[in-house]
Amino acid sequence: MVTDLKQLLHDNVADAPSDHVDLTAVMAAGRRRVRRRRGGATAAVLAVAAVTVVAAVGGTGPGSGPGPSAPGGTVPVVSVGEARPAVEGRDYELVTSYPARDGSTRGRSVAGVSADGLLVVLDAPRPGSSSSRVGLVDPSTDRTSWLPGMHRLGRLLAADTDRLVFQAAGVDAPAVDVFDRAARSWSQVRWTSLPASVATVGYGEVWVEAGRAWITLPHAGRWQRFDLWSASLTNPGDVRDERRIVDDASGAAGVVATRQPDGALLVETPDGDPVVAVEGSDVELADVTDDAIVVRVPAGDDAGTYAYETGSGELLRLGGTATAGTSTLLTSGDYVAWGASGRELIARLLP
Amino acid sequence: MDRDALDRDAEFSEFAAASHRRLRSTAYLLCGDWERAADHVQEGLIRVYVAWPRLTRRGGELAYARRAVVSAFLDASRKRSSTERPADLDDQRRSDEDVAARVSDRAALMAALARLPERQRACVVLRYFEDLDVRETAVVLRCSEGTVKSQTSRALTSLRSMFESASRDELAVIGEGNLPW
Repeated sequence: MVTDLKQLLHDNVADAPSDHVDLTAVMAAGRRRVRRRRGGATAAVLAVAAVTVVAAVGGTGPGSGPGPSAPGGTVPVVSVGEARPAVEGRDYELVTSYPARDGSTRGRSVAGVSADGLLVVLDAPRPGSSSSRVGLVDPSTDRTSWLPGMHRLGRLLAADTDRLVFQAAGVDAPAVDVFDRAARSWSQVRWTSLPASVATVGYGEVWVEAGRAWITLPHAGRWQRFDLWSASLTNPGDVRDERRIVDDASGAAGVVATRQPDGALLVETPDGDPVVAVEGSDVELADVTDDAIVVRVPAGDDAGTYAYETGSGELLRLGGTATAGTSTLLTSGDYVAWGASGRELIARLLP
Repeated sequence: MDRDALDRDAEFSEFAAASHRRLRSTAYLLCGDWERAADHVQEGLIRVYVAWPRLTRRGGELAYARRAVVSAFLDASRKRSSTERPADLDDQRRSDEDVAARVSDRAALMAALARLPERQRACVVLRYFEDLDVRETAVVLRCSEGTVKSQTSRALTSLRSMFESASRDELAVIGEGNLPW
């Protein structure tokens, strides 16, 4: 007699006990996760802003000693030199790629990728034009949906399923241009009560998390110290001094990164729980996706972009170079961007 | 919540209701415990919900969900402390003779599956319950096709050996050759 494995597997689940999946709870948890990964609660954002990079002093070199320690427990330690090369189709799904030389695809500059996987592109009518139209490109069909109007826009700050947020350009006060995707309409919010000029709110000093804009302004008399402010994306009068001095002008979503004396990067949650220590030379925190911490090594033998997957605990090497273009490109959800062979690649990390 | 979000939730709910039973069965064969299987499915569905806006445009929702559930199982197995044992360990503790005497083929299979390393078990479940081919299984498990072949081969050898030791009928994959691909 022979027992068929396939039949036996099916027999084993034929009389499954009844079960009710609470989809309301599933969706509520999903929404919480989306919010958390876009920046989480205000308290988390405040802590996130306090990114501290401790200068390497008396370092012993990567991989030459025990891994960094952190209060509260053992830290998983991974090394960029031992990262597994990521494989397309298994580790990630390539969304698109374009020449890294000019950061553009078909003459359009790519500003980022939205949480629902659309490329946000800017298209100037002629070279040197200060106004652009904005398009959402579906990479799977290459079809572009153009948003209404021409605008002078700065950097893309957020690309959610419900809205796009750009830093405004050509206005006399710090401001953002917000596009409501459902209503297909633009609005501009100027924070005239923010104690800063346009010149002091520059590149990399404003970001969007948890539904608000976060702005760092130079702290009087302190070099590389910044006052943290937040402002509403809908109400111009809602500007808050968060009464917090931070050490870094730019925000990184959801984690705090501290460089260790040996050059490794220790990544922690805002509450101080260690996530991972990444060994290597000059490892930089680049991004936080739905399920991964993305780091970059700007130069040297290990130059490239890496993704530490928090679920599997594995460090993947995504690409061989860390191009300048990707550092300005906004990614959302589980999308990552990196450079390889003269091209910029945008991909979705697979679960 | 705006209308688009409501529509997305409705689409997701429909998908989750339709696929839940299948996903739960897969999870059960992986972990051997219905309650834990429900947890893995819940975690998998949360991951699907987070990715839903782009999944619906690009397709492949069920494949993504299957992969998310398997990942949830593997992640949970990895995180489990070394002192915690699978729920069906009681079956493992029994001698092979005991298994032969006291449990049916179905229970014997679950006991044998529980003895396999997690990834070998996943190969068996994905190949012979989900009917995925070697390439599809490699995608779900994020390994090479060669790894899937070798892991499946080892798993089948172990399962057959355990069935033989338990004096049960020969275990075979009907309709396929001796090789796992």
